[in-house]
Amino acid sequence: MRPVAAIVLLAVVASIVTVLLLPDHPVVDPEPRLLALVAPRSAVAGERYVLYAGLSDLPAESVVLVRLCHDDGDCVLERATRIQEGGVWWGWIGAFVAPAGSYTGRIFVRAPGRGGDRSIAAAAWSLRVHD
Amino acid sequence: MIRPAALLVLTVAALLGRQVFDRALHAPELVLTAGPPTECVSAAEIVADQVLYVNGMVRLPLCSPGVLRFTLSGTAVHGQGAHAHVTVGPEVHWDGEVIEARHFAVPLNAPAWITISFLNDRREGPDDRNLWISDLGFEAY
Repeated sequence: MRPVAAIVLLAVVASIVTVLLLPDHPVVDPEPRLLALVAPRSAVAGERYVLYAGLSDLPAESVVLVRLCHDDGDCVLERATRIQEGGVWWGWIGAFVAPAGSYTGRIFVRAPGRGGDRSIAAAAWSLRVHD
Repeated sequence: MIRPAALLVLTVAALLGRQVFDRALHAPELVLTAGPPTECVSAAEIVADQVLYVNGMVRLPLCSPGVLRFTLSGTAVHGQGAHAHVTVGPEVHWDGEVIEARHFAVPLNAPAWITISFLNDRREGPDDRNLWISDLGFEAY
């Protein structure tokens, strides 16, 4: 094997080992699981509705973000909930009052990591609000 | 000139390295996946009749195949009844308004969390929107 090829090969192997040994790398983190997402699929304009979620395998200090936006862009709910302890969590994640229209809701889970939080999971649902 | 064996090793190593770096530096957003319950409730432990006077959620971790039966009814404010939401694991089984008694039979084929929730509590003067859960029971197959 030529020296150049050997150097490239060693660099690749060293990189693989380095990445696999990083302590808070996504490859080795548990994947959050959605136990339930309680969010209405239809609603009445002007009424107040609440949302709940159940999650498991959460890393400690995770943040659950929920956003509910009209398909034209205006959001009626944007909220973040920090969860101190990891593991299983059930709770209230937000509430909204919306005018009539079609909406898309999204829930994100972000976990702390070196260099800042990162998104590790996401889910979406649709909502129709009528008068 | 690079020998064929060395070229093969180099190619495999490069592909493997690319995959690892793709996961490390461009980790895609993962879809939340369903999680089974880590604890189980038995049929005898289920409370048959419950009233949700404020927004809330009844959670049942069920671990054996069977059917969960219950009846929902609600009261209205400004003509709008209680908004009930029933999930089986991450799936929505039913979502809608309840005033008159409505009977449910939710089949369960695998361990899952079942939730029954009240989402639009409201009180104005003598009118109070509530959700009643009655005859809640689980029959294992």
